[in-house]
Amino acid sequence: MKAQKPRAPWKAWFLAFSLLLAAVGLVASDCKAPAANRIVLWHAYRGAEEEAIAQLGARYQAETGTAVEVLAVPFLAYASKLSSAIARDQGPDVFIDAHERLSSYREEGLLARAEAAFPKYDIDRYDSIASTVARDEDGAAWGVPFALKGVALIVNTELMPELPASVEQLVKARNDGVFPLAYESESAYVHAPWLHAFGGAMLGPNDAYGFTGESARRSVAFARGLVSSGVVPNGADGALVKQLFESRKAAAIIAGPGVVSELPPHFPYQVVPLPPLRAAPSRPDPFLTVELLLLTPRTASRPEVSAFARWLASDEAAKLRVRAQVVANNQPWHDDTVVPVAMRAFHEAALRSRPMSTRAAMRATWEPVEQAIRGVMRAAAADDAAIDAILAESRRRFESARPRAVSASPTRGLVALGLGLLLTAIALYRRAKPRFWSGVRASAGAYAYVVYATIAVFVLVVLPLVAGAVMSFFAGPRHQMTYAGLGNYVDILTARGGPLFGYGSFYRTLLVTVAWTIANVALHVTIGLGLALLLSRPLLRAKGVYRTLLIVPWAVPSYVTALAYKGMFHQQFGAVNAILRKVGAEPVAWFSHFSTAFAANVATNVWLGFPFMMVVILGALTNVPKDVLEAADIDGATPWQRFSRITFPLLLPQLVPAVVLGAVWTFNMFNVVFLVSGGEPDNQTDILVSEAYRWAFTRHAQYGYAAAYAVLIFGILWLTSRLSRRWQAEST
Amino acid sequence: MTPSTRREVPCCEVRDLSKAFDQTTVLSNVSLSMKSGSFTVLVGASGCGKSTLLRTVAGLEPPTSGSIWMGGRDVTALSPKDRDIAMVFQSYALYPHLSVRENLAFGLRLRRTPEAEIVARVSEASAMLGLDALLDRLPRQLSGGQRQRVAMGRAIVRRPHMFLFDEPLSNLDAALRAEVRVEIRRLHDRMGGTTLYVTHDQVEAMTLADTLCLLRGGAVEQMGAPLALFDRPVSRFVAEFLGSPKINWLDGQVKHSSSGLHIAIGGKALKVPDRYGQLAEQPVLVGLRPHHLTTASDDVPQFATMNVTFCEALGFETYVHGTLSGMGDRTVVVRVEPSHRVTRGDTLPIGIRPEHTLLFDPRSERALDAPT
Repeated sequence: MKAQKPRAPWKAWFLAFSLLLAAVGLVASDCKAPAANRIVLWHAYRGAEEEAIAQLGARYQAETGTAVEVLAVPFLAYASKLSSAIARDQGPDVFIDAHERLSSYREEGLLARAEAAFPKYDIDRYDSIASTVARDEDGAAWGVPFALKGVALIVNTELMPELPASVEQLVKARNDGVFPLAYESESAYVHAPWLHAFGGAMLGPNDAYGFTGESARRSVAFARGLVSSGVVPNGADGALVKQLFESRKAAAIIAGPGVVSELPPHFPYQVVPLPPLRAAPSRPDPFLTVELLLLTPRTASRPEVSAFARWLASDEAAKLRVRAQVVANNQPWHDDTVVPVAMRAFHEAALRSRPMSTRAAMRATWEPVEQAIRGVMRAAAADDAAIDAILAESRRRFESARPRAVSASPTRGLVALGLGLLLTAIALYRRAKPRFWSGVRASAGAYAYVVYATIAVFVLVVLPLVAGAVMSFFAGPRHQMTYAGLGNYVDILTARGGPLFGYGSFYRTLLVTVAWTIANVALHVTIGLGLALLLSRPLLRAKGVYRTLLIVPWAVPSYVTALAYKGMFHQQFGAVNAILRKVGAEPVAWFSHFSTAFAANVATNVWLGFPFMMVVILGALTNVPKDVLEAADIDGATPWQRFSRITFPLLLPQLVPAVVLGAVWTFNMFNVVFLVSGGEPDNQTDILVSEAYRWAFTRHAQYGYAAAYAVLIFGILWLTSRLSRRWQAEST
Repeated sequence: MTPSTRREVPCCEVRDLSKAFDQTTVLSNVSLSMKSGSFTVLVGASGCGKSTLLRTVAGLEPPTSGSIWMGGRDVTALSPKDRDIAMVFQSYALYPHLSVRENLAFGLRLRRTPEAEIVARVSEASAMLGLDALLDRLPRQLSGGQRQRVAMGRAIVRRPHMFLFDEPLSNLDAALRAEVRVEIRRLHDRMGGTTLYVTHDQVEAMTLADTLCLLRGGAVEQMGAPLALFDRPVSRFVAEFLGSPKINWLDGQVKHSSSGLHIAIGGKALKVPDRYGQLAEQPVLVGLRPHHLTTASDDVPQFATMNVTFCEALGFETYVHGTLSGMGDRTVVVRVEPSHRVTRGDTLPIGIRPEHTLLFDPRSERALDAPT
């Protein structure tokens, strides 16, 4: 009996692992066998559209008795959730998404042909452009047109009683305190009509960068003119455009149907397609996005799903949702009784729009195009040469962000891996003390207590870490990754062949990140220390109230704070500039220069971070004995000497770990950088994590490249924390 | 006590000092005066305000009213660092992050003393206190007694006019306490500063003090030379506070008779010491210290019979507890020679040395010979 006792904990290990495996298996099998007849529909709609789709689902369920589950997935995570869920056979049966993603979904094998559910695909029932974009090169349909998305001109009929016949006429309609026109002037999507009018395209033939040449130059020069002459507000985002229109400070806006559906009742407005731009050779056609009803591979075998899909796309269902969106079906538009006037105008505008390219390269055009637009908007001078230089730079960025065809033979990697494992094993064997194994066996009972925590850490921390590290050796988009060896690292560490401290290089970003970390942590500690010392004064009244108030910034979710600060730093409408104007100072274009954008980020993060340091220091201050301070008083210390020679050194043991922790958090503070400056101007304020994010999600989905960044970040942080620990151990 | 022709300025003087925390009065109208080079001990039960008085003298607590004078100037409003004092705390309050050497040198460094001077003074103090081997250690690596010595060293190196001690021995064990007690007195004599010392331990108080100041409820109960307090306590409180074992109490009655003034206790008559002079016939509280009672012998006639209830044999002396038959049920402690083998249940003939008898008014509890 006694000899067997130490073995019992291993049984616990075994049991725990088997339970875990069983749980994983159960979850997996559960997903593989969805409840019979239940149909799952995913979409990324919000507001009125979400409501309309939910009602359709409920109605179908009520009429046919088939269970329908409608799931609204957040837009930003939609594509990645879809591809991972469908790949594991846990995704929807039917989903709705924009046509630009059709080709990448098809390549990933996430789709079934539309013929599976629509044997008689009746092209006449849908708008013809929409039907075209749903087909591949061979004419096979992969989806059914569902809704059309695009922008139109929304006019306040009180401020602008006469509908403008041209953009020029619209621009002339000036009123005091009212912008004739408002739109997201730095968004490539809303800028596209001007580009199209001057004969350009974002993406040329053979995936060439299109935002270049005369058409691009004239379009940005025109847009800059609108802003610099005060016709259009500077740097407005979607929320601001909507707000200006609702508060009657903009006579007309360029926006989608979402704005209209949220206007207050009886608001005087009218929707029209964008009027012609006389100065340009072509019409200012906006981009058209066709939302498609898409089927997943497993649908083909389930007739009830096909029936549901057919009903969703039917004219009957379209009549029910035409109040909320511009349906792609033709039939409801012939029936005046069901179509709202505004929707008809959006439909007209959509029919004139230009469908967005479905090429994967299209996704990589947005960032450089928007950088070029911003660059021109903010340049001191914008003659042709200056604009051309900015356009050339944006083209270079587009091209340098394209994945290089890196591929390497995995043999060397495997050999290195094998050698590494062997060396690790030898090192472990040599380091193990002679009684290592008997020691392990003797304390087996103790291991039983940590077995669950170990499993949790393994599953939640170690596995993702290893998966990320492995991914960093691969290149290419997710569904066709190729082994690249150390290619990603070499590419990153050689600054992609450019100058070492050039734009967007790893070293430059690292430098910014280090500056960002030092600035933040220094301010966190100083402010936290100052406040903690104030709060620890025995004579301060209402201490509890102050303490609670000062912890509030910490309690508010960081993205809420970040968005609030972004708003406060807006050049034209932000609180900071309003205050500057009040005191007679020049307003600052916060996000136009590195220093000011960096300062705005730091201000936000300092606001978020000082309470943590304050709380840590308040706690540490209670560990400073009162009589030691009194002894210093009697020994002749001035208040400053007492602080610098007694209090501060005694705080250090608690302060140093907090600083290390704070430094790691700040080093990886994605929220603030991404939400406040968003890397502006031109990704100069990006830190390493936000840079890694861009490689993964905005530049050709280079997950391996982003993973290599992540591994480098991990290495840097690991090294610094090791060094700081050693330093601390030496100093005590 | 020698009368001086010149009026000497006291090193430190406390005038009508009162201190209250919120509504609680801790000190009321305390006045005391310390001659230069004197060793004054503040003693009293816990909560009597002795530590508060010390901290007020140090400048760590502002007084509510009254003033503190040092070397002829009013220092009431000055901060501790401007009072030229050093203090040894009960917890020692060493700087935990500094070595013993730096702990000693701290005050000198703050005052920008030249480095050579610092080295000299630190080595002098460390030699005096036997700290040489410990100079590079941190306080947490020291024993309690060593820390105590460092705390004293920190006070010494500064060479202040005045040393303040706040129960410095209370964290030491009994043997060490006796040893350090002697060391403190020796240091005081050697350094020649003025010392104000707080303790609740009457043995420390008696052995260390030139002047003993007994506090009760925030006011000075009696102040004077230790033996004066012991032999001529002004009140029952003082008599009880000093002396171990405690003084014995018997109820008696002052009677006039043909042979003079005597105290009747349970039918026996006890002579009233001459110093009381004339007393009216009145009930009195009779205080007799254990060593003033003894077994009856040829020198000391039997006064009463003791019924022994308990016996403490300490080796060099023996304390016998019991009641005196016919004299009430108060427990009485008698010191007897260790050669007496006494056990519980024995009866013991007891005699009294009447010249040491202390008489107190039972209602006011003031000594009958106390100045009014």
